[in-house]
Amino acid sequence: MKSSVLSFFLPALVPAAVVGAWIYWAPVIDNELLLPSPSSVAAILVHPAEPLLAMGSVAVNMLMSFARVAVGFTVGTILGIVAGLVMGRFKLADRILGPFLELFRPIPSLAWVPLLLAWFGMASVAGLLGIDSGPVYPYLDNLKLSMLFILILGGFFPTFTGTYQGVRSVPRTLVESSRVLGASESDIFFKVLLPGSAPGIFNGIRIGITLDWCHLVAAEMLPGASSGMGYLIFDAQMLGRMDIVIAGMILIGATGALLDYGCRVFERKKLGWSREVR
Amino acid sequence: MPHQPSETASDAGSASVLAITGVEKTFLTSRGERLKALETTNLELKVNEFVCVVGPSGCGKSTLLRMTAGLESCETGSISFMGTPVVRPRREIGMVFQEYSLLPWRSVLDNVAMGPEFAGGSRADCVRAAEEFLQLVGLSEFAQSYPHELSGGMRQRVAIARALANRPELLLMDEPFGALDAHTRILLQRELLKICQKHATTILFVTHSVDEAVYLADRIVVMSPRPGRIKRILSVDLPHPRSRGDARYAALSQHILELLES
Ligand SMILES: Nc1ncnc2c1ncn2[C@@H]1O[C@H](COP(=O)(O)OP(=O)(O)OP(=O)(O)O)[C@@H](O)[C@H]1O
Ligand SMILES: [Mg+2]
Repeated sequence: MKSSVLSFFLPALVPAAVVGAWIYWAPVIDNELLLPSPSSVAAILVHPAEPLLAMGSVAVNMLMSFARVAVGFTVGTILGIVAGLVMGRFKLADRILGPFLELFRPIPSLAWVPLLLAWFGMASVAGLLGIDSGPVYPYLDNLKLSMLFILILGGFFPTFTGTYQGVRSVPRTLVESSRVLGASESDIFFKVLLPGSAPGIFNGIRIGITLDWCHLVAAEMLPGASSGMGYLIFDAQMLGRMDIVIAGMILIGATGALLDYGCRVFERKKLGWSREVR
Repeated sequence: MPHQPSETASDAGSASVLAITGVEKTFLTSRGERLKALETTNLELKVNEFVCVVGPSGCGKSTLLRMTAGLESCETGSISFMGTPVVRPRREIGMVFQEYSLLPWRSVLDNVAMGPEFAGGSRADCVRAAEEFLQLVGLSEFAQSYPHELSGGMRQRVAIARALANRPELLLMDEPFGALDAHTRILLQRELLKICQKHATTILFVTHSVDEAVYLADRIVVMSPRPGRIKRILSVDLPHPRSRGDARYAALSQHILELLES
């Protein structure tokens, strides 16, 4: 009983110690530019809807970042799953596309930025859809193509790799026994390979979404960004508001951890079978 | 071509279900060498016949079965089922693999329902068929379990139910009981024979075990070591249920063992 209570609090131990040290050191250092007081950071966190200077509220920026990741990551993930399934299943596709993709994988996403700015400039999804006013315009206009490209790329590779390896790990007898039972090529795809590689796909998604969240913040610090958590942090630094910087960092970290946790829960609930097999 | 004794008088009445004629198989290994897995093979199966294939490891038994299932191409000779050549898997030919062939993410019921489902049956029909065959193999109460929650013997019973739920006219079985302990094995052999009587199916059954072959088969195909070739085809004229204590049973087993060793 006692030990279970203890193990419940175990993960909170180190964060609590860090906060404790922070509370102790902040007044000792007494310099808001080096280490803002915990209370000023907490004030920002508990009033997320309050506008901060010219940057809008934490909530709005968070929402913007989220929308970007949602769109970019979803597109990247879908492309990754499709490419992984096709290349995992068909040798020919693998031979043709494999080396090409491998060339792109090692390029850090930020290395794309100059090219992307040259290609897309400030163009956004709003421009792409031909919308230049209305209630959704500000949101669509904040979905810059260059950022989306980075997010799509960031979401693509982990999911692709996970799917590809997932397909490869589906035992041959599963495919063959299904074919013998009358499965069509699309049955094989959707009822054998897809569920069979689900653990791999999901692993890719879990790695990818945390990674993409990191990419996003970096991308939002680029010139031209006017919203999002990355922008918020960058701008707050310019204004010497370290409390906002730290609040932003805490939120980014917490969101990333939460996404990862959500993925784990889903995995445990829905893909439990994969841990039981061999 | 070596002479093959035709010990079964071809009774004109029963038509042949499967005709394997002049089939050979050569594999291209990963090192680029040609490997002959199967020498020219001829075999015919009559309706409702139970034929076992025994032979040393690597003599091409699985290859022969996989070609019959349409999973492996045959360059030379032909395999025809009910008069039409087998070029790809087809619903009328079922197959039970040695192991690992159930989809681990599907419940037992959904595994057994696969055949009807692929055939485009309604969900209700699929479930009904699956339940019927699960009952046949005595696993109704495990319908909602997952394969990893079952023992090896239970899994093979599910695999058999799954193959039968597709109502095949020919059932190919590749060492289906190979991974089971002796007791479970004997139990499943008995069950299989019962099922065969109930659902008239023609069976081509590969096994390592001479005893298993003598217990089950109407005819036994004895193969020589690689490159595999049919050495002899023997009829088993013992009535079912066969008793392992029977002198003729023992003599036949002994005879086949000698054939395998020579
Ligand atoms: N896809 C393949 N590529 C190359 N060689 C193969 C392939 N499949 C089988 N072989 C070779 O063909 C020969 C016959 O294999 P097969 O699996 O049919 O033997 P088997 O009689 O079923 O043996 P066992 O009793 O051990 O299962 C073996 O030498 C094997 O190495
Ligand atoms: Mg074999």
